[in-house]
Amino acid sequence: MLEGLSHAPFITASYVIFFIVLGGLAVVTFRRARETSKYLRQHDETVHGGHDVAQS
Amino acid sequence: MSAFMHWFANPARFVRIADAVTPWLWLTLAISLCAGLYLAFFGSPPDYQQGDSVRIMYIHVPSAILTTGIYGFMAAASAASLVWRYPLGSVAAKSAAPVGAAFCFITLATGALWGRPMWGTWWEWDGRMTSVLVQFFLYLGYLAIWQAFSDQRRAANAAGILALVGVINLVIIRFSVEWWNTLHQPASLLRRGGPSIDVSMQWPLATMFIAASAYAGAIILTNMKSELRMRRAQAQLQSMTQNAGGYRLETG
Repeated sequence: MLEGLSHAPFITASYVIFFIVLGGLAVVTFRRARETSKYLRQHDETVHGGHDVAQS
Repeated sequence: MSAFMHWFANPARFVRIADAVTPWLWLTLAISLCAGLYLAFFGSPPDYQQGDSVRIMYIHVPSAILTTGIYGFMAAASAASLVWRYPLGSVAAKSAAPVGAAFCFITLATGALWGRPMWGTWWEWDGRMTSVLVQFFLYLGYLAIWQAFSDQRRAANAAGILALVGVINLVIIRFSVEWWNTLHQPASLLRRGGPSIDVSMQWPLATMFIAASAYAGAIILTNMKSELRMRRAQAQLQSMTQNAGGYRLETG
């Protein structure tokens, strides 16, 4: 797609950085959210015998 | 205003609202990103001076606007937390910081990649570039403060003060191109007399800005929900262990 464009390496590198950084942050965010949910499930079982505190 | 803040301050209510809003933000992101990329590469012409490298602008400028916008949001949230003890303030500021840092890094990296073919240099220690680099360090410093304190309240206070002090740098970023001679061009969007960019380039720019804003909103809300749920669970556990005469729970 970029073969016909001048300065293609700079444009490509910019968009690659854009997607890698924002994609990486999204992955980290979702992983943290999943770990939080997992922690909360364990916590609920320990503290409330299964009642979901996140929704309460 | 204070009634609205008070109504919104209920974490359970906030989580319900955030749960409802977040999918719409992801949908907005998907649509506007597809449209924005199409417009950026196929629906807009090359610049008469810069050629195709102007297409870097469609990610550089939205990232730059969000870098300062998110920091402004963090400062406002920190002020709400420090001054009015608004409970969601520090959570919002903490959740926004990684997003702002990411956009700041993108601004610096794409600025260097745009500067090399246009100016013949990757970097120049001029007012605009240096102040944005300082902004990046402010973001890193803010995040480091949260990691440095085990007591979340003390961390929120210290990080909030840094966020407020850092507002000075937002002013420097905004006016750096007017105060000093610089390689960086003056403001071309938010200026008297309207934008100086051709309308054919304003559309991809606006669309990519919507995409980047939707992304930022979705990630910040997701971070806030995780933080609130974790704090609630930890507070309950801490209260239980204290009642049982137990040990001190590490937070963070």
